[in-house]
Amino acid sequence: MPKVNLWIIFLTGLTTGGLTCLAVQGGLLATAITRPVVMPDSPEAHASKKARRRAARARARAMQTGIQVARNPWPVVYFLAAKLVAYTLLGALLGALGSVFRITPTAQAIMLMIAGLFMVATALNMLNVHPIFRYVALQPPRVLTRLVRNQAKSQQAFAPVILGLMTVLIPCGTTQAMEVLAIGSASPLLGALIMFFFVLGTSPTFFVLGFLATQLRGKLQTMFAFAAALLVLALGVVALDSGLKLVNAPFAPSRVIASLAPTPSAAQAVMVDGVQELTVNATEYGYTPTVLEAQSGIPIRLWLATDNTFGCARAFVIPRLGVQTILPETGRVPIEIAAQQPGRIDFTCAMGMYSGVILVN
Amino acid sequence: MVKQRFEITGMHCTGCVMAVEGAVEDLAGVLSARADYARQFADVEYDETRVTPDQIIAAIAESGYQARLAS
Repeated sequence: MPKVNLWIIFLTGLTTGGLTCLAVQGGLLATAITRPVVMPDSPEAHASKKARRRAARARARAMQTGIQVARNPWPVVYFLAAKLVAYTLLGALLGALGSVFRITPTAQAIMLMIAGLFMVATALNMLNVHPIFRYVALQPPRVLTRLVRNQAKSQQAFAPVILGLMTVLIPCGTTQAMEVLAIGSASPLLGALIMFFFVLGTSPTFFVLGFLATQLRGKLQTMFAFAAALLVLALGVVALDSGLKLVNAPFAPSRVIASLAPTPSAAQAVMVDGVQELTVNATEYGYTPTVLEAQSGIPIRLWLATDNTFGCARAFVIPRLGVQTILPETGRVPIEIAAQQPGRIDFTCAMGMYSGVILVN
Repeated sequence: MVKQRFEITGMHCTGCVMAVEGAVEDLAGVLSARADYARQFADVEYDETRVTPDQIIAAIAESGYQARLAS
């Protein structure tokens, strides 16, 4: 069983995970904190005509911004509890499957690109750019919405719970990295613990922002919706870019931008026993150096060094050569590369977030 | 029993679909309501002897949306 630091996983959830997940799953959370239906058993239904009209006006105002209001934090709590349970079970399942099945970089890239396109389209829908983007809105199955509406007594809890469970279907980039880790653990218990601590870590961000959204009114609420849409748009582009980098696409936006900027000085290879050696440090913030140079026609030994590295950079991929490895938290791992023709060997983390290149001259 | 389409404006998310369907189906005489977020309409099947299109439009309006009979 590989060593996994659950505390670090919790902190990853608390920091990056919370924000990236919110970008993808924020829509479900927003839906969870809304109460669009007046239930026959709810106090509102028995209220005076005036109170009902007031409530309808409040709902109408909320509709203009796409975010609606619940007056208390309970829907957020139910949503998060259901999400935690769902992901813990998923972690156990992935851990159990771990020895049997492995996500390839191409599969990961396809998932990232689909998620990226979905996020961009969702953001464009939120910004009301064109009616065509309405088609990307996830509409829960009618059977489910009926069930939600008919559960009069548990209405307040039921919808957020269903929505919380549904977050399993749209994991964010960081969550996917954790899922890969859970698969890699090849242990149902460890897989469950990885996902539990990660999702627990993401919960405070969800709770604070979710609760805040319920407290915002008027112009602030409109601004919150607008800012959320822009954030989803930006993260969608990042996910798309990461997916393109993973399949080694030369037109990945970050690669195009990098080619326009002046190339940083490249680290040179050192000859050892007829093999040219290069070292790349995998850190919490990516790979250093990001540009390395080697000569064609001579085998390359690429040393990957880690020193208390817990982030995504540990999952190392060279798409073109089919290299895929998980580095130890601390240590040095050699990757043997046969003599190459002149060209470029791009490397990246398994999520396509961090990258670098070996230029073969 | 008739089936009629109502054009709706103001549905901003799929949660609105639930709101519209719920408001209409709560009316006595309505058999089913099926709203479409992407195309902004709702198909309503109802007993014309028990409920009128105006009552359906009013119920939708009370949930915060504008509706009219599709031409």
